[in-house]
Amino acid sequence: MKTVVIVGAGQAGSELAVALRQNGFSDRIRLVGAEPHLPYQRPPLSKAFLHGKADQVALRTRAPDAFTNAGIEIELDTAAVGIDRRTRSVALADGRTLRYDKLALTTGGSPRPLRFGSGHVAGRTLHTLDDAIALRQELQSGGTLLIVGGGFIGLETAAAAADMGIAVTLVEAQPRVLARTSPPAVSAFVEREHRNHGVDLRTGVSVRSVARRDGALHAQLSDDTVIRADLILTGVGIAANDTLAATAQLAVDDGVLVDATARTEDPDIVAAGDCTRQWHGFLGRSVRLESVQNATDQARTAARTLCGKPTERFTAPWFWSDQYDHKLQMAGLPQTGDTEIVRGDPSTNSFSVVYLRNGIITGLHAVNQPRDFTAARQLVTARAAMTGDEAACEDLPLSELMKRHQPTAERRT
Amino acid sequence: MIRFIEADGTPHPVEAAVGQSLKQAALDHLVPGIIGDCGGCASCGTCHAYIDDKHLPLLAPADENEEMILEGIPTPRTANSRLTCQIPVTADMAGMEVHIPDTQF
Ligand SMILES: Cc1cc2nc3c(=O)[nH]c(=O)nc-3n(C[C@H](O)[C@H](O)[C@H](O)COP(=O)(O)OP(=O)(O)OC[C@H]3O[C@@H](n4cnc5c(N)ncnc54)[C@H](O)[C@@H]3O)c2cc1C
Ligand code: FES
Repeated sequence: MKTVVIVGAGQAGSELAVALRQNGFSDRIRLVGAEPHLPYQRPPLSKAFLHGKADQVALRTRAPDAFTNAGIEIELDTAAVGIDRRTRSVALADGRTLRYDKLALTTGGSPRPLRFGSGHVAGRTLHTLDDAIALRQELQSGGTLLIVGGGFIGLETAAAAADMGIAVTLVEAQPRVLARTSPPAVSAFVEREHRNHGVDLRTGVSVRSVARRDGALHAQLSDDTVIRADLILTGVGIAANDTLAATAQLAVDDGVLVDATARTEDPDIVAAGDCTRQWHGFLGRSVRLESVQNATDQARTAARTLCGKPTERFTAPWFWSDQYDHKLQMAGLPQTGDTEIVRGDPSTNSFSVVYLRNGIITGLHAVNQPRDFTAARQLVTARAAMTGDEAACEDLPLSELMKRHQPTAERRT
Repeated sequence: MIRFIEADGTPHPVEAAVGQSLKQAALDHLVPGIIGDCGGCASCGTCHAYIDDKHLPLLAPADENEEMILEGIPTPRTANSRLTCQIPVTADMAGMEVHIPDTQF
């Protein structure tokens, strides 16, 4: 009997285990997770869950029965601490070792810690269910919140907290929020909405130091103002959990290196999700992607590879974020130099930004425009040609442009 | 009992719990072809399926957001197209057939 061991029981690990069964793998599957919880989805942690609109059950990737019925053995609260590729075994923190024939690494990432000044006051992070439970409890008892970092996690948390009536200050060192991921029109919209909801949003400033005094935190900003807060949350990105791979002498470079079929340089080891830096079949370059879509899609690819049916991943990446009652959705991964065309009027709270490169659509960011988003996903995947005028013309549905294009051959679920 | 049917005709009879979404019922029973990346918040469109004619009238119609998501899905959109994450399972769905498209993105 063959054994597949999957290290990391998150979004990718859970999907990989299921996809192995769906691809006909009938031997042993052991899913090992460091957290005490069954595989769950992180996106709601900073959205509905923080708000109290979704409970723990709603977060689960699959029902507990789903794993049991599929014969997927799960070990929770168990971190893997080493891989011996020679004996094909994984060492666990509790001293046991697990033998594998094939190994999958789905270890995700860890929030980058931020310590402020000589006081060494550490900001809290929001990455795990336990983080979210603790944060929710604290927010429910009121107080003031300082958020450091105007990325998706910081902004979503700000929205949830503001909706709960918490006084929120958000500082972002860049001149605009979402500077790394989104076009200026989207940043401007997001900034406006947060201010409309009472968030004290400050861009172009950073936190210089934090001191604990009189039962509260006092953050000194780079512009010399001081913010008093009961709680500081930092959302400044994650680092790939690639140490396990690195110590097993697998190639890593800010992420476990894998090819477009999710294989590491060891033919018996695949990796998927936030822990990887992949050669992306569709983008034709090396990227580290942090999204549910990437984690689940790459996990299914990895499962096929382990089952001897390797297929190259060939889908355009996409991502979404909810803040207040606004839906942000993005498709593709535009690069600097791509032309940005605003489609619709941002002041109406519903518009998109289309990215073009040499007359080909490379991406789209939609604000309350799900219609543009789903159409753009197809158009980006089809590498559809489009003029700037077509992109800008709101009266021309993007789905109309789709009709000009044949679907790509590589499509699959 | 709800019958999910893959694009190649493979049936997946599923004992779905009343109140859970059709998408979650499919996921919990490892039905291939329903992905549900956004967790059911009607953002991704990867839980699209076709509901049989007999049971379609039982469902509350799609809201505007669902309509807009369905506009751009890669597989043909028909009058039977729905996002399965937006459909709570009810007792009168017994015997319902849900046809899964051959791709979700
Ligand atoms: C608050 C929040 C909101 C988000 N919102 C969105 C969103 O709106 N849209 C979107 O697309 N994405 C969102 N994401 C990102 C998305 O959740 C991740 O991209 C996705 O979870 C990645 O899946 P993964 O399986 O690679 O990693 P994870 O889901 O993080 O799972 C990795 C698991 O591996 C475990 N692990 C690590 N090391 C070991 C070890 N040595 N031994 C055993 N287990 C180990 C970890 O404990 C963890 O449980 C959000 C993330 C967060 C934190
Ligand atoms: S699960 Fe995303 S739209 Fe249904």
